[in-house]
Formats: sequence, structure tokens, C-alpha cells
Amino acid sequence: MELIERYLQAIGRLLPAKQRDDILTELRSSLYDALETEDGLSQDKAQIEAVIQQMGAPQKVASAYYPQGDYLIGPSLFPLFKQVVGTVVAVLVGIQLVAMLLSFMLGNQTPTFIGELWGVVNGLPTAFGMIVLIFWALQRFDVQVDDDEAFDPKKLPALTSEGEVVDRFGQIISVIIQLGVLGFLAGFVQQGGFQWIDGSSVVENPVIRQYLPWLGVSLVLGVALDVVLLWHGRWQTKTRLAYIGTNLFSLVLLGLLIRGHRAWLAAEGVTDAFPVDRELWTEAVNGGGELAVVGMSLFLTIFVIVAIVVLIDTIVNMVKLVRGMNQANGVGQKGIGLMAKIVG
Amino acid sequence: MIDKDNLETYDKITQELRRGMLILAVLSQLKSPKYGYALINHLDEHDLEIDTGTLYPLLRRLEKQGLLESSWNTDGSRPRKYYQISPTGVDILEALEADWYQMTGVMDKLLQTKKGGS
Repeated sequence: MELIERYLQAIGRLLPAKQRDDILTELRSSLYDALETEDGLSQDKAQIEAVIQQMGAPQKVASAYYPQGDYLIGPSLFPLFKQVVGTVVAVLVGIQLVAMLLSFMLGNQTPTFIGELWGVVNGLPTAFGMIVLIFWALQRFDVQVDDDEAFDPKKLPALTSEGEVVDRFGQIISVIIQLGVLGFLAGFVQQGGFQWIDGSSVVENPVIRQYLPWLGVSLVLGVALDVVLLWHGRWQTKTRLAYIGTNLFSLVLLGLLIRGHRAWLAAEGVTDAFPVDRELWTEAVNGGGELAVVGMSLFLTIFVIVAIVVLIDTIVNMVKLVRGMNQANGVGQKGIGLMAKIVG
Repeated sequence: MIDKDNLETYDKITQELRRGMLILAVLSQLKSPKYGYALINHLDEHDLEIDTGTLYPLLRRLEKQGLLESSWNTDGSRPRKYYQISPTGVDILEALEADWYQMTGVMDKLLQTKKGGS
């Protein structure tokens, strides 16, 4: 029966996340129905393989659940397309991340670091476009990937532990925000500071300049992890640990940034800059006052808020990690549990 | 007899022919609730073969279109999703049945004419 779970796992990886559990429960039930005999459930390996073979290759089964019609990339290729996009983006980001870390370690800490990083982000749509083009050609020439004859149930990948489903919407928003911040930092590099709200002047920030490469590393790590999570679709212990690690790294960085901003403001004689002083803010908006002080004070406020959010997120993920590990050691996976119920 | 070169073309046309017919067949047999595997067997008993990879996505599409309703039953040895035709589905089925008889009537005449040699 483990083979059935391996088969369902392979199908599940290609299904839309929203319907995945429902579809898999129905398919599991159908497979067991097909194995039902007068003496109970058949345990004959050959029969199990035959029933799986009859249902079809995971690729073919999953593609039938996508809307039918005329598309640039049709349902028969779409699950594979999703996998390829995920892999290519993860590999590209991974390679660039390693390259940048090496560049940083070798002492290339110039502001162009962020500029180059932004260039990588800009390069992703090109890679995506190329993949779309290749799949469009496959579709155009009617290339089929769901070859049932080549499908061998014995070669299905082994079971992996089933974790919490990733909130894809949340992850995409997270990627967008982090890319937005990267773009913002790219502007910092180009202009030597940040544009004031009305674009009238540039506000320098020596503290951010000091930690610029680390900020880049933190953001790229965050994006890379989000991409991996989007690709897998489920949390695993290792991804949860990596997520917590990235958060802790960000917290240390935020701590340094907060301390640096406080020190800078203290040197300017401002000790009550958090939250942003209303009078200073009003003056700055009206075109007067010390823009640099208001700017630094504003950044300090933002960093404190972000640090609180990241801290809460880290604690939540630590709790989920512990809970997940307890579950893994306890009852076991849902599929295995159901299997035991059926067989027993 | 279809030669090997034209077999693929024939398969594609047959699939197209079957696609619409299967919707009608499924809707007509779900006046009482049935789960997928039972429906496959039921249709098979009436000489209509349909594989699981075709039926389950079709059931979901019909449900999404509001023609079927579904509910999970967990009373048995394993959870089963039961499907039944919805009130909208009943109306659509009636119209489809009328279309079907009209179309088969026309086709019978056309094919008989061909057999008659005119």
C-alpha cells in the first residue's frame, strides 16, 4: 500500500494546491475500491501496480484536473511547466546568491553589489520568457510528455514527510515586498541615498550604507527560500529551520540597523526620535527642518516595526517546528493513518 | 478497416465524439447519489467504458459548473465522495436529452441515406 501513497504523492506535487487534498482523498478511495476483493483488500503487489498503471502516469492524471481549452501552454504540459519554472528560478537565484556571497567574502563590498543584485532580479523575467517559449513550441508541435507506456509504478519516488501546506499567496506577497525593497536599495546605490518623498532631495543614510551588502544577502536569502517553498508547496523540517535561520539573521541585522540609527540620531542631539517626532515630520513635509534627521528617524521607526513583525513570525515558526516534529514522531502521516484504518 | 497511419486520427475523432456523450451519460446516471468508482462500474455494466483519469476530473468540472452536487461520506471503511445531479443539472439534462434525440435522429437519417447509396 506504500506504493499507492508514493503514487498519490507524485500526483499531488503536480496538482493545484487548493484542491490537492480533496482530489487525493478521492483518488486514494478509488484505488482501494479497485483493490477490494471478497476477502478484503488485495495485498498483491502485481495487482496494486496494475491498478496504478490503469489509472495512468501522475503527469497525465494531474493534467486532467486543469481547465481544458486552447492555451498558450495546455493542461497536458502545465504541471511540468510549473515544475520547470520553479526549478529554473530556484537554480538561478541559488547560483547568483552563491556568486554574491563569494564576491562579498572576497572583499567586493562596493555599493554595486545591490545594483548587480537588482540586475539578477531583472533577469528572471527573461528566463521565464524563454521557458514559456520552449513550452509553447512543445505545445505547438503536439509533444506529449504523459507517456503511459513508459510509466513504471516501481520507479515512483519514495515518500517524504507531509508538512503544512505553504500559503502560496503569502509567499508571493513576501517575494514581491522583498524584491521591492531590493529595488529601493538599488535606487540608494545609484543616487547615493534615498529620494525624499516629493523627490526634491536625496537623504543620505550612512548606517544603511554600512550594512548594505548584508541587507542584500538577507533579502536574497528570503527570496530564495520563498521560491523553494513555493516550489515544494509544503513545509518541511529543513525548510522551517532555514526559514527560522533566515529570520534570526534578519533580526541580528535589524538590531544593528536600529542601534546604528539610534547612535546617529543621538550624535545629532535627537534622543526621542521614535516614533517619528510629529513636529520634525510636519516641518520636513512642508519643506523645512532637518530632512536627514527626519529621514533617519523614519527609517528607525520602520526598522523597529519590521523587527517586531519578524520576531513574532520567528516565534510562530518555532512553535510550528516543534509541533511538526512532535507530530512526525507520533501518529505519523495522514495517508499512512488512513491506510492503517483501511487495512486494519 | 483503418490502417495504422490513420489510427491516431481516428482515436482523436473518437475522443471528441465521446467527450460530449460522456457528460450526458454521467448526468443521466446521477439522479441518485453515487461515488466515482461505483459510477464507473455502473457505466461499465451498460457497456460504456470510462477510466478513472477521465471520470473524476469530469465530475469536478460538472460540479464547478453547478450541474452536480457532492458530499463526503465517512461512514464506510474509507471516505467516499458522492455526486448527485443538481436542480440546474436536471434542467440542463432535459434540454440535452432533447438535443441528443434530435441529433441522433438526424444522424440516423444521414447515415441511412449514405447506406442507401444516394
